[in-house]
Amino acid sequence: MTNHLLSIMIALPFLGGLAVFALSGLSPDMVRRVSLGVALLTAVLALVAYGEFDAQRAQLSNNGVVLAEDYALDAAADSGLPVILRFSLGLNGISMPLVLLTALLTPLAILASFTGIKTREREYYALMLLLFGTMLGVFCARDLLLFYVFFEFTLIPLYFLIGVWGGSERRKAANMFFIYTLSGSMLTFAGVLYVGWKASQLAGGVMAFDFATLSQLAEQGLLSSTEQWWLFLAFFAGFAIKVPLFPFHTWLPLAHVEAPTAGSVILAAVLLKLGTYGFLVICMPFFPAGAMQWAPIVGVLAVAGIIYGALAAWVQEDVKRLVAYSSVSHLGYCLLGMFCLKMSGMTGSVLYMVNHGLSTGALFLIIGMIYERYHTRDMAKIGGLARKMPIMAFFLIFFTMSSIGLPGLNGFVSEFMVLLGTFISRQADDVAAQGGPYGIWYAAFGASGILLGAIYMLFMARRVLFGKLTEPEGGFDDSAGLTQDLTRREIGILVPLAVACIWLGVYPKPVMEMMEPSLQPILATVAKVDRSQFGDDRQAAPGRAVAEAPSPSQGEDRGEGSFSVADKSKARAAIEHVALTDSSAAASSRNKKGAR
Amino acid sequence: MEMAAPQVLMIVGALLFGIGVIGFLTRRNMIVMFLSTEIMFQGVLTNLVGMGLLRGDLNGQALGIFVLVIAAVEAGLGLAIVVMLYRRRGTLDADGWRTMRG
Amino acid sequence: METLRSTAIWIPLLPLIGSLLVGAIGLRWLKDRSHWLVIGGVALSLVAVLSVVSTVVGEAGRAHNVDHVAQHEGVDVAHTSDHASKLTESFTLYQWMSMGSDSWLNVSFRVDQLTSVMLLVVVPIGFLIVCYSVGYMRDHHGHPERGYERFFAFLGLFLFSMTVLVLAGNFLVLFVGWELVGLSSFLLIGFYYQKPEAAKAARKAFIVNRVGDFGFALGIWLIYLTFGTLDYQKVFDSVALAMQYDGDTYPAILRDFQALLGTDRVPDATAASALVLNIQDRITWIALLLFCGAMGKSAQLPLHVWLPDAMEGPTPVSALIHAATMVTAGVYLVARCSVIFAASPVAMWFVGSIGAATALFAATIALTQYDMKRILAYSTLSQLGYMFLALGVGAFDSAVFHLYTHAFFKACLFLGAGSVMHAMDGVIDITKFGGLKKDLPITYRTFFVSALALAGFPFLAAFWSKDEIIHAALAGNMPLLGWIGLLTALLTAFYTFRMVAMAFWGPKMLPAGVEHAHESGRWMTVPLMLLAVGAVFAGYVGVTFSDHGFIGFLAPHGVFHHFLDPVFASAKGILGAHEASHEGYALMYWSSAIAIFGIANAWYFYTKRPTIPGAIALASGPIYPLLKNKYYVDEIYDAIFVQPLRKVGRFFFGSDRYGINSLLFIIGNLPRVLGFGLRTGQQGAMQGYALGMILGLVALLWFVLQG
Repeated sequence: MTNHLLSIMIALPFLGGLAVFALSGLSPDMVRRVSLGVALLTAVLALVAYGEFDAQRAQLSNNGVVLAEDYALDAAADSGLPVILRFSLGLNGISMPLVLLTALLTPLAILASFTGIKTREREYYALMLLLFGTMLGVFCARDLLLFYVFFEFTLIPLYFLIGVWGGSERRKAANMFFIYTLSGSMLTFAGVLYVGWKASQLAGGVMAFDFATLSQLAEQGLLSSTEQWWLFLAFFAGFAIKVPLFPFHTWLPLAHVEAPTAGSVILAAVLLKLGTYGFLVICMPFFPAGAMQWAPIVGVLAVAGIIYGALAAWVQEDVKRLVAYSSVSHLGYCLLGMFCLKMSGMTGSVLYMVNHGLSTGALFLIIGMIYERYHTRDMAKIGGLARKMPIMAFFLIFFTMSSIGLPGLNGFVSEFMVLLGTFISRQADDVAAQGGPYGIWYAAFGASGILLGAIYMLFMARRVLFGKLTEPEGGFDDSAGLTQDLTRREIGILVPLAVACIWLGVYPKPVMEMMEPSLQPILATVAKVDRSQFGDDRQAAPGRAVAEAPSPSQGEDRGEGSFSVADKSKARAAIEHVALTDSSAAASSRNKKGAR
Repeated sequence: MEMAAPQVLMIVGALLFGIGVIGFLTRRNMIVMFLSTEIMFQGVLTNLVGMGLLRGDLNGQALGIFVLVIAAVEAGLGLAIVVMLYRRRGTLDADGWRTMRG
Repeated sequence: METLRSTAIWIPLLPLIGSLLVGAIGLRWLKDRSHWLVIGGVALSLVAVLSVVSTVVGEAGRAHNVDHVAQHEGVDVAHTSDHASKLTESFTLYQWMSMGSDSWLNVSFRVDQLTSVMLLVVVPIGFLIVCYSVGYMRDHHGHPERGYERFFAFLGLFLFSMTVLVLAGNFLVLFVGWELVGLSSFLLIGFYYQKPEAAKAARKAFIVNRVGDFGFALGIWLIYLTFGTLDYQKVFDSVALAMQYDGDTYPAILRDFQALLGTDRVPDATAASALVLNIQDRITWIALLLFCGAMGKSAQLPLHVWLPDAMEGPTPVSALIHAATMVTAGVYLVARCSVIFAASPVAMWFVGSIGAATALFAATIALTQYDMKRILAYSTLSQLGYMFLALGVGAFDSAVFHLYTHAFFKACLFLGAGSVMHAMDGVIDITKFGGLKKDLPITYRTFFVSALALAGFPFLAAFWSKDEIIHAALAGNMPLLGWIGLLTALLTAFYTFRMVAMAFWGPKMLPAGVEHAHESGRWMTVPLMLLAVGAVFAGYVGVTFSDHGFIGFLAPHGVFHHFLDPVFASAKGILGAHEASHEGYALMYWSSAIAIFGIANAWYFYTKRPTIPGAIALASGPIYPLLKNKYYVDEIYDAIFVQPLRKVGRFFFGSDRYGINSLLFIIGNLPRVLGFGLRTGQQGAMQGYALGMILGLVALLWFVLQG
């Protein structure tokens, strides 16, 4: 069975969803149970996959994957179409945690819908299962075309989830979400085709899309840095909208506000990660030069998004929209860490994906629980709920703290690592001899998000939980069998998330060790790019007249600058020239020596 | 000036087609318009036969006869539709049927 | 040493376990017995502390002896310093964050003399206050307040966080403790969450602390950028090394750095010299950024605004967190990083100035307040200012000494205020009651003794520590700070006894609705008495006997200071080690006189001639309202930072809604507009379409024939 484990894991929710949809005779209650059962079974399969993954970890080095499956359809032989279509799956250290995240959250989201969804249950749960399978497919795909198919297919279930079971403006939100993301992906598709066509040079004249071939393209010099720039742009269009990176985020608050609880949870926890995952496993290894040309822009947008999202979140009255804007802010960190060219930043970035999924997913779940009781999310209408719902208050505070990066909980670890990586980005080291594209200022402005995050999240917590008790007329709605405080089912939903938050906050080492072997080759690929060729800002910066680019190959250039200091004043002059640990120190000091 | 049969046929075909077009565009009466389309049709057919001759291929003429039969059927159907339209609206003017306005 | 380590781990863990258990089962099963688990946890933790401290004292004594012998016999000191370094090594519990290439940021602890002192402040006082809370968090009939178990769970959490902060072995763990005490503080200030002021104060405390932590985090990253490690000792030793070399390259520097930071980090002499220059360049920034964190946590200007508001929390919380322990974390931080600060004259100047400014500023506000707890809060600010003043002039041991004595008398004062509040049914405004001396005898006596100590009355705890600070300031290169300290001492004595006079002396007066005042129960009075004993005698660990000292036989700089000496040795080395003369006892007479003068004035103003203060307030013009309204700092912050930022937020949100979305709307509707234009061509006339087709055909033919 382990030979086909991933296929089974992906197919199971698909089949389950179809079955639920087809069996029109099932009572709503049975529908719920069956779909939860299928989801749980799939989650178990994901755990089994993790067991296998753990056992075969040695295969991960050098871009290796575990549990690989590969079925090729050579269309060239059959119909003369010069394409190889592949159904190839595999898990590496980046996809494994995200698969686990998906497998944890989707059953919980299904469980959370039991009381909230009262119409068309069959269709609803069928779509949820469909979405589940698709998301697993994205993370397991090892072929760009397959990835793209899964990536796009996620739109369909979510479109209906928002459009049918959403709030009052659901149509508009669904359309906006669909058109927004689809229009971005169109460009991406053009990029996919171009890459496939380029790869035909390596695959015997037949368009190929498998990751292994594509990663060779840049390595063998088949993609010029201009081509990479354009390709990055094409993929950026799809991924940046998905992430969503400022200023392409405007669909997100609306979609979140209108989506049903489970839709919001899945959207925030998993679907947004498709964008960051795409950046990490496609843009960076396949177009390293493109990535490095774009890195400063991505960094600026990420930092802008961190601040913009935080400030916009602060003025919201709708709790859900507040949390939606916080996602815009948080995902900026993800991208900062990814492009900073430091292992700590990259590990932190992947960890951030998981952590954001846990804490924001949980926040949306809690907001949904409040909404089911009071049918409002307006902070002017609800307040002081800690008095009546102490257990809910505990969880809301807990996940708020996780979201604002309190040490001991998960958010802190990833935030700290990402910002540390960004902060020391410029420093040259063994991996990146030129240093990374970011630096102190990116980190300093990014870190202001920590402060702003505390402000808006606590603002929300204070208004919802503390102060005088405010409820809408008539108190809470118990028509669905809910109690005033959380029911056992609801507590059962939140506890696994809380446990995961604590575990990842206190002892994330196993997860980090899982990720690193797969991140290493990506980092190495990108770090090899000679950024001086496209006028990186460091070379262009005024006051740093460095004639020739430093050659990173010289062993003694270790970033601290290789200069022998004869007397202090000269050394000072040199160090001021370098400002902060900077590989151009090497060059500048060489110039000085030459002048002397 | 002597012309070979194919060329003559093609010129005649072109003339017939042109007459049909002008008739279709200028007349309002639906029966006349329908007849104009038939003339266009015959023009094309004549052309087809001419081309067949040019290639020395009898298939062209065979196809021509085949098409003539189809055209007869089509003419019957078309006239029947015109009669139906006349019964609906009580006029043969084509302007009476402008329901496809955007 | 192994036992030391395994014991040290339990110091934070035991209160945490108690806290978690209470949180889990308190509400349903333990109810009003919830305190026992936390008391038990803290008591066991206290045992662990005592065991750890005794080990440290033994180790330190042995190292000292070895050093002594070595010096006698002329043995190389570097060799024997192995013994001393055992205490400075941090021990790793587990690997936490990966930095790539198999290097990790660890969770590590460190137990040395400074840690011991802090533990001796935090855990015993914490224990007393937990006991006090058992009495305080009940009404007069002994029924626990709503949220009783929650309160104890939070207290346990706080003690866990604070001990983690103190025990940290690197900057990362320090930061963890730092943020966690912020969380506990947030939860405890907001304990009465239904009161809007409490909820607001809790949030304010957390956010203002985050402002400081923002700088603190940047400082930590800058440390990592510079040193490639966050381990205390490696960083401190590197700084000390870098301060010895002035950029010249010779093998010694390389060897030393390689021994410290590893050959990976410092592969050759040029790298080593670059490292030295980097350190010298960045040390001021590192110090100032770290100090940002200290300013937030210890509520120094301009981040002091949260502390007075934090008095919305229950009184034991104010005593424990906002007087004795958590707020002194900033002082601890600077003392811990004494090497870093000592290496930067700018930072030292800044720390001292901020401290002096806060001391004076807070004391002036305290003169005009009527809320007992707020007076004490401003007094705490002021005393913390003293500590930073001491740090700024290089008297690190005096700062820690003051921290230690302050913890006793200030906790006692707060608990006394709590006892009064308990008796007055929650009223704390000193204009509403008075003359409680008779009704609350134990509270009064302990409060009076601690107030004397705070005022700097001779022979009590703060007298010794405060005097040392002023002495060091006057002797250093910023004598102005010393004069500010003296002025503040006068104000301190005055406002303290203003409070005592209004609350306890004079004719008896009770707030409306309170029939008679009851002295509190045993749970509350015993901790009060123990703390009062501390307020009297705690100072004597820092005093030694000398033939020509104060009044003939007492001199500062006692056991306490000798114990701490190794911790501050390298900082003092960098500062030039002008061994402050402990002569000049004249100052002690002067400061005694100042204290007594202030106390006497307060007594005269508020019991003999109660009309005078009002007259002065009237006569002072705008000054009194300025002080009464705390210099309008809150209002200024609101106008400068909060409102503009919210405006920006609204603008962003608006631009999302109207700007970007309407742009999208236009793009999305482009096809529709286009269609609208085209459909005028569609008139439905068959012949029109036919004409179009023909024209198209002609055009096509023309194109084909052309080309």
